[in-house]
Amino acid sequence: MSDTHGVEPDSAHKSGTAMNGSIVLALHAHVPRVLGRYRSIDQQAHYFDAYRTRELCTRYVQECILPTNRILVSAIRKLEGRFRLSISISGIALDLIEQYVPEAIGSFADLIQSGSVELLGTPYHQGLGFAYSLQAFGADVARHRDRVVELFGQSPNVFRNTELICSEQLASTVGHLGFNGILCDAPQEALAGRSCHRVYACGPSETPVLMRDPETSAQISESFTGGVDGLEALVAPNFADRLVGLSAEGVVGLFLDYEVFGKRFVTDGGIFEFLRYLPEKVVEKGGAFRTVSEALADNEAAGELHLGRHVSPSEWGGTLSPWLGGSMQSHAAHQLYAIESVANALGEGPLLDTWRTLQGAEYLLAMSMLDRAADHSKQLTSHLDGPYHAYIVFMNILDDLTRQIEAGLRTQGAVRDPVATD
Amino acid sequence: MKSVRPSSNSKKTNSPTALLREGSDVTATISGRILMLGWAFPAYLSGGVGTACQGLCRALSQMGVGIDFIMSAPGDADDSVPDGVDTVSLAGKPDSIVGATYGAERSRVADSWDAAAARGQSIGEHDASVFGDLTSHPHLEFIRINVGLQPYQRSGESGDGGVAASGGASSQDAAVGQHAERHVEPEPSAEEGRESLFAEVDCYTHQAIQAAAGREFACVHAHDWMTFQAGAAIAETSGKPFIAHVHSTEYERTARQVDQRIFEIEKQSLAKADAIIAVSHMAKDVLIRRYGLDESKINVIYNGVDRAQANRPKPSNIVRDEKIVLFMGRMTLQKGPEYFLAAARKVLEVFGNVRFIMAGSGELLEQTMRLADQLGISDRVIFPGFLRGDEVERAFRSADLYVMPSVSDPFGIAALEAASFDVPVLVSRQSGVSEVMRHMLKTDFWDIDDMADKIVAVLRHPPLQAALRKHGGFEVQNLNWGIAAQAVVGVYQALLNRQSVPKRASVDHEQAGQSV
Repeated sequence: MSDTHGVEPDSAHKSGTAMNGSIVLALHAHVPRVLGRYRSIDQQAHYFDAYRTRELCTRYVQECILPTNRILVSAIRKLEGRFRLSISISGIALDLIEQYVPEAIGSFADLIQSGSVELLGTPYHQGLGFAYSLQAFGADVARHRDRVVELFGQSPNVFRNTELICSEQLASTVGHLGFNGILCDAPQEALAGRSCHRVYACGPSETPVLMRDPETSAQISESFTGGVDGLEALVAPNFADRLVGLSAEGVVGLFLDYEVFGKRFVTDGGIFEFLRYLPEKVVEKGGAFRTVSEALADNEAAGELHLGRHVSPSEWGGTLSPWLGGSMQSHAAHQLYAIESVANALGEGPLLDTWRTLQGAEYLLAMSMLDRAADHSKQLTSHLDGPYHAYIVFMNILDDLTRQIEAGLRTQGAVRDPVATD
Repeated sequence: MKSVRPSSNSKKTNSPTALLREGSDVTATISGRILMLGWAFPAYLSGGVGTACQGLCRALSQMGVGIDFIMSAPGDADDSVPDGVDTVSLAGKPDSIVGATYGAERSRVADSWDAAAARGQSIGEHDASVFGDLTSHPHLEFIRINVGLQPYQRSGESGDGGVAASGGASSQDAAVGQHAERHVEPEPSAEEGRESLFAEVDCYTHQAIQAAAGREFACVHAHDWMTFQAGAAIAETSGKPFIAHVHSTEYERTARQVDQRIFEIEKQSLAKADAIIAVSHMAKDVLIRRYGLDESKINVIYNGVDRAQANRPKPSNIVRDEKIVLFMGRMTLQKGPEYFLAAARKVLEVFGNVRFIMAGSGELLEQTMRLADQLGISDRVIFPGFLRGDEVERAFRSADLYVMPSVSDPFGIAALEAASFDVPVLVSRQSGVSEVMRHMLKTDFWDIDDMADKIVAVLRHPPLQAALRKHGGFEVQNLNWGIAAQAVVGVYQALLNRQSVPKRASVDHEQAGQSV
């Protein structure tokens, strides 16, 4: 392995103990349930549209997850541990994949058992509970941890939040939940000119934060338009050169969604070719892939990061506005968390599970008036009339769920009362 | 035919500096005036077409486009003066009005403003109220023809709410009153009505041709089928381009129960048109598929609405816990009143405290009232009749939701009016307006459950209502008549430019004229 670039510390990938020069690839897998056209009139429909959910999940797995995982596994084998990465898979995605395409669970297991993949923690239902109920948030994160331990035998140490949203408070909460670090998008304002290629200690809890390199990640997730030209522009040696050069500053966070591969771009657009050759080229150029925990261990905090409010990735404007900015969105979220305690009081069962599922941030995003939100929601809402209808359906379900939970509690009460008086 | 008006020199001079109200700096330059053919402005007969003509003329006039508008007016039953023509300039002063005499074989009417007023025909009243704010537009001249073209009034009275002028005495609480005001007039049989309609159309055509003779204009712009024959004929004799503006077709108006004669008139006239203006892509599609028209000559220009003025009185602060859902439109098959009632019944199953107002009249009024009775919801449905002026505004402002369940509506201008009053709107996807407005709820007219579900959601969830009001009210500002008028001028210009390249027999005449 020759150090062709000249700036890469040569010991980085050999010893695995260098103090910098890491490239961190973190992939995220999530697929939600699709809401049905549930009406307040003639309630014959189901809350969730099983057919559309199955379609969505099956396509996601077939077009994105399976081909991507195949490439990743083969790159790991070929590069004998020098290609390392991290993945997060939401709990709801695991549930749906297990239900509809069970063989894909094995594809994740293959990756994780290769020894080169770190599994990250993430909210089970990819919700925004952190902004409404830390209790609900903590419970959701714990459920996810239990689920992946059960499935893959690996307990996550680093946390990737819904949509990479982060704040001081969240970093501290995550620290209390037992995580050693958190992923985040590079918050330009808080960085105040500092590099996003360093690790920072977030807030009073000093939870280490590893940042996405927005520009480099976006080159793949947003600008990769496929075709031969796109391939030429991005693939090795050019892109590998860039990555290795940037990693000299410390750590380059390449955080991507699985859907970047195969779904957002057509399969024959070259994105898989790109993914196939990138690891090899990076290693050839002297770059060192690290898992998230390895990168955090290798890089000491370069300073403090103050995030007084929740920040989202820059492509979402850096705020929670795409999910909660509209009156319908904040109302829906408020109403959902308003029944958290009664849902919990009812105890485990389908109604509580439904309540948890409704936490999904995508249901709120579908109510957004932003074009980008509409674009991202279209697979979930193609059977609905845009943001207004997304809200109507959500509220219809929530209203009915509330009624059912209350009815359930009354029944329990009726059963329990005689016992209590005894 | 001569007419004199204070602004007569504007006939030849273009006014390229007129600014659009919306602050646009686009100016219109059309060499020559537009001969416009229409009928039934709101005070006479409401409906989308009247509102559209009014809005369009006002905006064109503000852009400096000169218009001679040959307009039908209802002949009074006791009017001793036979069919004739009045020439009225809305430039305003009686001395600017000079009657015209045509058709020596028929009667001539040379009414001055005073004479008209004296015989109680009340030009002033009609025009001042209808065109009140148009009288200040010197580019606009009206030529009235005394035929009562009321084709959509196949029975009884008619009308969408529309931007009607304040008319006769109104029951104070028409919009929210408890009792239906049954307003159905005795009427001739359908067949008689139909025959008299065709006679009136013939009469209009004949007189419009006479009125156009001797006038100078650049092109002919006719609104809807009653004026299309006149438009085609005038275009043919003058050699000027003919623009047919289709606000609705027989196919759409009748919910597919087409009167073959009207259909033929439409089809033949539209085939002769040099350009057609359709009010939506949906309407354009009907023209292509049902009328076999050449796609390339059809321009889609959406209607607009002039936003309700900000200085209007705000709704009272009286708290009412009752919700109001409003239907406002003609009670005809096209507007789908029965679907509204069917949805209302479903809504009432889950949401008790709501009242449904069905404003408007038309051939299905009685039937609709009976239906409400049969559905057992007549105590929750109010039929205030045809609303005018302030009543329209009050109804809009009192509504929690405006529903337009049209079965087939080329546009549906009332939905824009509702949005301009910041009223949440639910429209059927079978209306042209659903193409342009993102911030309206949409449904299929036949999907009663969906319609009811969306009505319930608006009544139940204030944030939904607030979002629709806010975004809808904002969005509708982009659909104003200034923008529509610009597009119309674009159609004029394209035709006139094309015509400057020799065309038809008229070429010789024009060239001869120029060489003098």
